[in-house]
Amino acid sequence: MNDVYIWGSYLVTFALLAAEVALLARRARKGK
Amino acid sequence: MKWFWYASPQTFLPLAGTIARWCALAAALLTAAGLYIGFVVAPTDAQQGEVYRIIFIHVPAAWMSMFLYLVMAFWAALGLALNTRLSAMMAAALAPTGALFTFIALWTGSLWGKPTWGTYWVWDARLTSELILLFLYLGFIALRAAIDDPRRADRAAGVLAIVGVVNVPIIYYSVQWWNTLHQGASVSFTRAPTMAATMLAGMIVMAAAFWMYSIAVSLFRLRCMIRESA
Repeated sequence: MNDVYIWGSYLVTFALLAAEVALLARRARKGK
Repeated sequence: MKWFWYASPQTFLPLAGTIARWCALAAALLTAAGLYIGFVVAPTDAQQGEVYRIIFIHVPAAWMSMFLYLVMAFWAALGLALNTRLSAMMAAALAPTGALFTFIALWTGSLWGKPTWGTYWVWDARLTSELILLFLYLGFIALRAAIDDPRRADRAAGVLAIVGVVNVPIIYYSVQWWNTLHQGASVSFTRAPTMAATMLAGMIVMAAAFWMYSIAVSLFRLRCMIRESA
């Protein structure tokens, strides 16, 4: 039952960190 | 170390890239190690069951949210005092990552609170002051973006960052100063840890991973900002 809270925490955290990296990579490509 | 040589954005650009790449590699390795300790090595908690495993990201994210604010304010203050362009850029490069970790601390804390406390949110001193920290980060980003002249934008946002520092000790000591639903600190420099060694190790390794991640991402963002301003 509590699995949903653990998955919700970890997936959202790493999705947000990955999104930040992806946005930065796009910004770096645009800037070149 | 040639501090003044590296105070110029253009000369710092290649060094920032090198540091960022090594920190990104360290962050990936430490994250893998932290997840392994958190999910495989650390035992199930006697009282909370499996849901306590959220603390392996919640506590390091909360630490980073406060620490990054102090670092951001330090660079903002240095930028105001010495009028160095790179210092203000460093502060601006740290803000989005700090805001992200503040949001992660609030989000994961909320998802831990529901099964443990029975509620996603209460307006207690710890949670409220951490929410104010998120608004301070967002305010810093918004204020800097709202002013066209970069020098004036850096000065205004820098003052906001310094004034907001007062909130960091309030967050840290809130659990001692007020009667909060949030528990007191489990890890302290002056007391023995109140948790199993493997649990503490998982938290420390994930904190190191988030630290490396923050340095890498902030320096990558700084490189983008330097390139865009050139």
